[in-house]
Amino acid sequence: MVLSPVRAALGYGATFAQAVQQRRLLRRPEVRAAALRQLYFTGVQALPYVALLAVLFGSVVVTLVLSFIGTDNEFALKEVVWGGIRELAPIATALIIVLRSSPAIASEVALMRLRHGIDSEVWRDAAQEDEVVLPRVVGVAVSALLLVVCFEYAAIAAALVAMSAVLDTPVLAQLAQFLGAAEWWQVPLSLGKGLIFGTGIAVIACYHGLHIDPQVKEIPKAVIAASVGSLAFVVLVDLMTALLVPA
Amino acid sequence: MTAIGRRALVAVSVALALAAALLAAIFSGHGAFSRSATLHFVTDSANGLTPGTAVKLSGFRIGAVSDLHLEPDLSVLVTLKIPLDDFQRLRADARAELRKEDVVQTATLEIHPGRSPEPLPADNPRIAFDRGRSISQTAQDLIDRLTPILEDVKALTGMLSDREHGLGPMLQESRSASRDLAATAAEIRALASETRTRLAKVGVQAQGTLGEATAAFSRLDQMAGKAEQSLVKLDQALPGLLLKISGTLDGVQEVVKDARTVSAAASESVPQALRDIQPAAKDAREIIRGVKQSWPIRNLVSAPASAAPSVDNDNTTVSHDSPGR
Repeated sequence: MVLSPVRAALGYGATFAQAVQQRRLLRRPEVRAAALRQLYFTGVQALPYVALLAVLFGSVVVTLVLSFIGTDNEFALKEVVWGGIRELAPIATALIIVLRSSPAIASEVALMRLRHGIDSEVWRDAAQEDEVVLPRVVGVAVSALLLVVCFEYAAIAAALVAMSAVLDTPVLAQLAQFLGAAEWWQVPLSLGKGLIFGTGIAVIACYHGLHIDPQVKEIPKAVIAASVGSLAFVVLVDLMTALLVPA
Repeated sequence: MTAIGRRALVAVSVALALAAALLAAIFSGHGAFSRSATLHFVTDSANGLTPGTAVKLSGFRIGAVSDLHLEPDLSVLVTLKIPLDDFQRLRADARAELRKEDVVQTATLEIHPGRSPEPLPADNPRIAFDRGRSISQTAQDLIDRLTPILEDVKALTGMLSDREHGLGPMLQESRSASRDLAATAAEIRALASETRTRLAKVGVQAQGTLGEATAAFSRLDQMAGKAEQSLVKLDQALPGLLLKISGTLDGVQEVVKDARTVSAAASESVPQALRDIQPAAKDAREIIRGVKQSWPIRNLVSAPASAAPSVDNDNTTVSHDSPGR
């Protein structure tokens, strides 16, 4: 019971390391096509959900906070707005990927393994495994980055529009305050977190999809393990980032 | 490349471009693409100051703290980065003040540009620094002011809770005093009612008296008018009267003089005449008596009436048909 998470973590690490080692496979058109497909399904198709969450956050939370604390409040802009955007964008993106893509990837990989009747010896072949893992990892990681950018823009735009409508503040003046209160490193930090979350979720989903017994009843177990493992990974990474990176 | 792949590539390209634009906007908001200048000040502590602390001029954010450096003498060299245009507004006596408006708000550096005619030198842009009053200092001041007040309140509450001279006995006494006051107030109210009644009567009487006085004054006024008219007439007639009186007095004086002369003459002749007339009168009386007694004169002449003249009639009448005659 105690060793299970450790074993899973070691497995995640090994899968990721194997994918990085076989990065040259991206030169192959079929692998790139698979990566782009994954990017489309995980990133482009999830844009409406992320945009909706971002608009809700920007128009409701940011406007409410600034109406209470003051629109010219440096602390509110820096800590609440930009802190919220910086932290919430990768988390919201990760949750959406965990909800949508992690089960899909885990079940897809598991089904691939079952349908093709590939035995464990073949799957242990690094090349075969990386043809499955690498495009998904790349696709989900870039998708996460795309969704984080989308979240930040949508949240800021919604906040500006909502504040202009509700608090009667000029949009351009408020935008200047937003940009003045922001720190440049918050953008790469949030993008980096999104990238890490996407990579981790994809690796975990692939790992659990690959490491099932060749039985149909194992697929739900793999999906559940992938979702739980992804959530645990997101929380751990976010905690480590909060500890390592000063606010 | 499939359509899905193309869409994915477009989405990624747009996302990267947007991320780059966001970064550029943030850099621009911090003045990275405009000409900037640095200035610095030295303070004994970096408390409340961090790289990125907002620098404001007249309440507008113009820059930020770019560097904090601990000097060998343990003082702190704080470097500020602001736009060149704003730097040129600063005078030689410019100073920075650390402000923290409330508990939630982060500290900001407010720059006071100064009034010196000389601008801040670009080769040594060093300004003064004032830490301002922190919230803890303000709280300490408040404590210092409130402590004696609280002690007074404590002493007051102790005094009020005293069993002999405290609030309880005081309230008891005040209750009895208020009862006495209520009785006194009732008496005063009755007295006031009675006084009001009497005053009303006096008022009625005074009103009547005033009416009579007004009528008397009216009559007096009429009399005064008449007196004034009489005086006017008298004034007009007086010179003539005085002249007449003077003439009369002259005449009287002459008459008196004549009378005195006549009386002097009479004082000599009248006594002699009276002495001479007595035998003649006596003779006349005897003649008359003889005539009366002689017929027919005795029936023609009656004796004189003895009745007094009537009061109601100015003409004194003498009754000729006296019943006794």
